[in-house]
Amino acid sequence: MTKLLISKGELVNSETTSVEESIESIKTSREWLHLQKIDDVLDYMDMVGKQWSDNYQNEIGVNSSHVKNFLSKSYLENKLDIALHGNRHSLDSFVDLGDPKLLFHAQPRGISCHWIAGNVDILGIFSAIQSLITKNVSIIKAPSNYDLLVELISSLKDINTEKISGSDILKCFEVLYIDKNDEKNQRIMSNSADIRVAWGGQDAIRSIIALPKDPFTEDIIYGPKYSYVIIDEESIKNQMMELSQKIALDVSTFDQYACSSPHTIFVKTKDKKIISDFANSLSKAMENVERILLPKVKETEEKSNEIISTRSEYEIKGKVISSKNLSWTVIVSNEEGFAQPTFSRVVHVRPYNEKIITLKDNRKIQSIGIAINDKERFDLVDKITFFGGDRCPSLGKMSFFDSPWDGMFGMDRMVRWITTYK
Amino acid sequence: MKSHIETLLEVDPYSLSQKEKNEIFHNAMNESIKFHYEKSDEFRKICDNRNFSLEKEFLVQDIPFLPVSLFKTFQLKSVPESEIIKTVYSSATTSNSPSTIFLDQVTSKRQTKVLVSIMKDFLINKKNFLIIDQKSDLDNSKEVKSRESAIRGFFPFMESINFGLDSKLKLDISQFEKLSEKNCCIMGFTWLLYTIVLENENNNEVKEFFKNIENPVIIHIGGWKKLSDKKVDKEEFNQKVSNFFNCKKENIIDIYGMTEQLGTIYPDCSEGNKHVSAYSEIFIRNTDTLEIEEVGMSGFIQLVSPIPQSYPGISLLSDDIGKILGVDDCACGRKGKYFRFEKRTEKADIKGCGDTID
Repeated sequence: MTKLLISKGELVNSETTSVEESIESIKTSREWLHLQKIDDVLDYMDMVGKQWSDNYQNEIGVNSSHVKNFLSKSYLENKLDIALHGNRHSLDSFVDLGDPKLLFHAQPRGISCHWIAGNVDILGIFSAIQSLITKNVSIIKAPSNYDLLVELISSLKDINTEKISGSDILKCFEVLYIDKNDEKNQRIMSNSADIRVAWGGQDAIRSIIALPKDPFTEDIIYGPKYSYVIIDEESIKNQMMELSQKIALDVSTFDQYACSSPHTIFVKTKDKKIISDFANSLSKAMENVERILLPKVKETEEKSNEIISTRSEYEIKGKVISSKNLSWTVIVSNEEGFAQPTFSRVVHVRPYNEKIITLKDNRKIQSIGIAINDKERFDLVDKITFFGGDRCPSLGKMSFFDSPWDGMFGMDRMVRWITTYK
Repeated sequence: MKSHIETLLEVDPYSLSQKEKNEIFHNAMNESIKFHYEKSDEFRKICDNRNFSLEKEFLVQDIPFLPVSLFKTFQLKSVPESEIIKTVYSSATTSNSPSTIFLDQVTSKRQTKVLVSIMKDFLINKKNFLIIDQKSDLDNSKEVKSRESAIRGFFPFMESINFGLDSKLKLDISQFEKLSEKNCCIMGFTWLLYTIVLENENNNEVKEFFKNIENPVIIHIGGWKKLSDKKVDKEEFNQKVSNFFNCKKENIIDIYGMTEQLGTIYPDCSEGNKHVSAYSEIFIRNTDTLEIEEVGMSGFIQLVSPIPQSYPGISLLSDDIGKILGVDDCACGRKGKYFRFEKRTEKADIKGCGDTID
């Protein structure tokens, strides 16, 4: 089944047999978007950030303040300047980037098609916004739980600035629900893409990249990734409760289904009591985050079963501290290396062993949350990210979308660089 | 003094009301849990981690459960290796690794005893068995698959035994043409039995053969996973099997049980309900809170039994979903709890952009 959710600037929500109409419709907005000045578009996004933060705070949850910050004009100006080689105005016209002979202009690639994963719908919205501010129109394949995504995007219609009308902006997005078995429409969508942005786990990404595409289509793959945390003894001694709260937040945001969600906390210490004290502190923080900030949504029976199995396995191999129900689980063991993720707020606390982490290249590593002495930090980060890891954010901010993400400046890859002589 | 577990085994499987059963069963479980707490490191660690103390009064439902998956990852034993007489391997269904169950003489005898007691309530006299499977090695080898083990459990009810399939798992009438026309029991594994029925629906020779068999009893065991995947429900299964074998639907007995708790099986009664015998207990746990569910509510099926001595499988949380329908009041007349199996949970899909690690 394929459903048209937002089309031609309107909330539609009706079944359709083909996505071809959406593709034709979105093409008509390309020229309008190309004519808008980037600073006007950023003014508009600034307004969107404020309105979403005010009106959808509960729905967006802990990411709400980050959404407002991310969409603020000053933040996006900075991120665009960095991604576009120092000058965001290259999106409007030819600019001087320092080459003695050439001027540069960033042209949008065209149609950006997004495959957004369930459970991390907010992350998907960030990639859609990146497409918009690089002046690409978007076709979004929504996940099955698309309510928030549709609500946020359709709200654009009522957000206006002096220079830009929300109804024109909304026409830059077509949002569809395409059943995962509807290969025909996914192939049509993929074939129409100038940029394919795919969010998902291994199976989802494999099936998306296997779809046919034009040879000039740019693929931006977000996922499948794994994240972890390294903390040292000094940080624990100085700020155990604060660290625990921040890690609990990182683990609980997106219920650990995001590529940036940590699954293993490595503790740099030889003192087992420090690990044990930290695990107890983390457990209290997990409980508080669940109770106060991020109540756990009911899991599937399958996932419940996996959590029970993991808990019992580590009751034998280590120590398990958990909620009475299946909301959260902290597992302490002497096992080395990365724990296999169970997801759904199951986090492992393990002793740090640099040799294991740097044993082999692992491009699956995305975020490495770091809380270690600054004197040591840069050397350690350099050493471990040589083998894998795309970003080393501070704790509590691991799931805040940023640029670059997954090791690349997505916005740079959404444009074609045109040169002409001076 | 006689052991509480042995006392429990003397009881009729379905004659006690739930209230009458509770005390005898609790005593047997008390004896069993003390044994396993002392003998099994793994079981003790789980009890300790969950703050379960033998020093305090406890209810049967408080006994820490082990998810059945643990038998795939650990070699759980409560007796020395020298006392193991048999190792049973489950068929690997939802994962690639099978459960491994170690049996000693005591456990094996208890399992046989309770299975016979339970099945006597359903099969009054010995029958001529036709097993819808290939002929298997049913000698006393030390390592057995759960399918073979299940067949062996029915030996006491077998007047004769024939196997109906050739080595390629195709029906071969020549192998059982001497089967008696009367007092027959056809036994098979749920998915295989159904597959054979489908394959031979239009085979007139076979249909003619079964027309001459006088209202056989059909016993089928094993999971419904493969049939559920094909959207075949129990009603459709019973209809096809009843047509094919020319038997009444009431004579089709679906037996629920686990390799991890052999012996304490749960056959369907004439009302289509599965009955909990005196030798085990069933609880339904909410899949989210893990609290005990009330009658009529679905959840994970927890199976408790003092029968296992050689391994600590006395309280198991299965990955099956079911619900208790009532207690002591089934129209078939059997006392105790009765329940329905609903489905087996599968491995969860990975959602979002996170992934496993190599």
